[in-house]
Amino acid sequence: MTRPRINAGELARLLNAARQPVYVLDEDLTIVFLNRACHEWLGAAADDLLGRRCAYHSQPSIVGPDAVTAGLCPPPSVLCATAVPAVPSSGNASRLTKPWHTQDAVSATICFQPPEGPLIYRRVRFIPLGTAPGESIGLIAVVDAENLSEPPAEEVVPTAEAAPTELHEQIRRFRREAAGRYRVDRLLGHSPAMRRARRQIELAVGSRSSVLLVGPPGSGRQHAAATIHYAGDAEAAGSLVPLACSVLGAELISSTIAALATAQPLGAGRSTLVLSDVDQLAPDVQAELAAALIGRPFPFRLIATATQPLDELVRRGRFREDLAAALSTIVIELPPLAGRRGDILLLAQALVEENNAQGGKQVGGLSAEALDRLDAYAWPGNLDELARAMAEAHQRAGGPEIAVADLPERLHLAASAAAHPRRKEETIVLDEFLGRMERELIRRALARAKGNKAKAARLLGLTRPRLYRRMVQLGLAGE
Amino acid sequence: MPPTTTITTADREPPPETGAAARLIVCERTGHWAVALRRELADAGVRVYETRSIPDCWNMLAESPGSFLVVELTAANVEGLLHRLARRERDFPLARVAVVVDRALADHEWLLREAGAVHFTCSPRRLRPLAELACRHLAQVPAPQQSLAERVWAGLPWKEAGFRVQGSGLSCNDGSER
Repeated sequence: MTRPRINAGELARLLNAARQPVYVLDEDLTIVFLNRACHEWLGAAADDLLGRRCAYHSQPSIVGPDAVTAGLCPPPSVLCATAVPAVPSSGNASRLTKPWHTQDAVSATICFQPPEGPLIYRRVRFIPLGTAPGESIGLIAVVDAENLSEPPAEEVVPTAEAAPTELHEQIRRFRREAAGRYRVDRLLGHSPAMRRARRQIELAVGSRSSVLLVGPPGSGRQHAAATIHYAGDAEAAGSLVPLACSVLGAELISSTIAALATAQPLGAGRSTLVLSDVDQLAPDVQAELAAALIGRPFPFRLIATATQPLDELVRRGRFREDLAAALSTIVIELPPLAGRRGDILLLAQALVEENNAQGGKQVGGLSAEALDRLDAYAWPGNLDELARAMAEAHQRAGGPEIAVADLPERLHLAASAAAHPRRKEETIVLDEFLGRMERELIRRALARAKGNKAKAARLLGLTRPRLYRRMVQLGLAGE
Repeated sequence: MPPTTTITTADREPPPETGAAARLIVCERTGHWAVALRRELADAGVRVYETRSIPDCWNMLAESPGSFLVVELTAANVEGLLHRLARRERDFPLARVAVVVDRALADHEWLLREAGAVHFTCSPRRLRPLAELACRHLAQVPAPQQSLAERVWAGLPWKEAGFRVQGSGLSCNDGSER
């Protein structure tokens, strides 16, 4: 029997001549071949891809070859259709053992983020390779030559099979946006208090200790908590789970913590539990939380936010000492905006540019008068209020910069109040007010009775003739 | 000319931006979550406002920024909801959002929680914790600063009408513009 001739060089020549990018994965999902079109498609990144294993994940800040291999990895729906991912006894946890060759080729959309520019989507046909039933040796991926502008419609409204892929993409997009939004360098300010806070946040990013963020509402406590979570090693970013302590009861807090402990985190690593407004916890909820968090291995990073340091509450007997200690390893104070007036103009400009970045209207900055008005305002709502004010002013601005008239009304009212003595007490003219109220009530009753005056009179506790007389007196008879 | 009382807020402490009183707003396609929620809230005296789209829901939220939203997650609105949740903390810091969802989308729980959802549930039969959460929220949200006239007017029975926010002050009109 003659041995069949195998010309691998000819096969490589054919694949390299193909217009479509083609890559081949072995049984461990390691890239073993990329054709010329694939090199051209992926650019410089392709040089480092051979021998790299594909992992299907959504870590936003991974860049370079690992980001590309994450994009090239077949979605789990493809692998589920063709393989199962782990046989621990084989000594190779990633070995794929289902009989791929008994399955048909599967099409899917892959997506990856190039170093510059928007996300790239392409359709790919994954062709499984097998040697015998139960053995699989790899996948050939044939990529469409053209990019898709967005995922195909059938994946946007997922079927049961497509849903995991869609969720994966949603997590990926959400995490990418979050990673851009929550960065230490976006915590702007030159004031000593803000510099200190930034240094402490950097310290917290590299630590696993619990963190307590203390500051008034609107001072950016949630933002700082998210920054600590996302700004660390992206590999270590698991789920971020905020719990609103002021409204969640003991049962909901305990059940959510228990569910988080057993849930599959969104990322590969450590999850973070953010206890918002922990100083508002009721005593029974404090006890429940202490039981859940203290004296047992706890797989999450803990971040709490409060309007005042917990040790003060402990001294006043309003907070459990053991829980306060467990939550306060690193205490970071976020200053009120009024306490760092020198930062307001910088923050305002940054917020204007943030609004520019949404697209649409482009505004250069604020006029000198508008800046004076910002500087004079007390900012009781802190950073959040400044952000809303800038969004409103940006929307109103009709010129190249925000004028003082574009600023929200409350800033003008506050300036006016500061410049003038208090006005006299509010007064009403009783007869006029009662007349308007009576007119309104009659209208409402008539509307409710669909114009039936007898029914409206009953609603008002009047006789029909008396209702009619009042309608005439109040000028409502013609309605 | 109809009498009009204009009350200025210039001499007050700048108020928190609470707008109209906080509401419980449900945003869903069919109304069955609202029905189930009303059942749970039967004794609480909380009115449930319904909307059928996320833009409508956020428009209502803009009128009463301290509201508690219950939003039904669907395959079609995930992206839109995530986008709005990402801005919720800044745009509507007093509001809270809970997500209700068909079991087919239950695996979105941790993504939605990460985006800021305060609660997530898949079952219309297990809405008691959500109802309690909403009641606690509505009890905590600061009431809008109102004058005596506004408070009296707000307490009138039947259909809401007659009060409009006009620029810096609040005007009490006689309904001639209806």
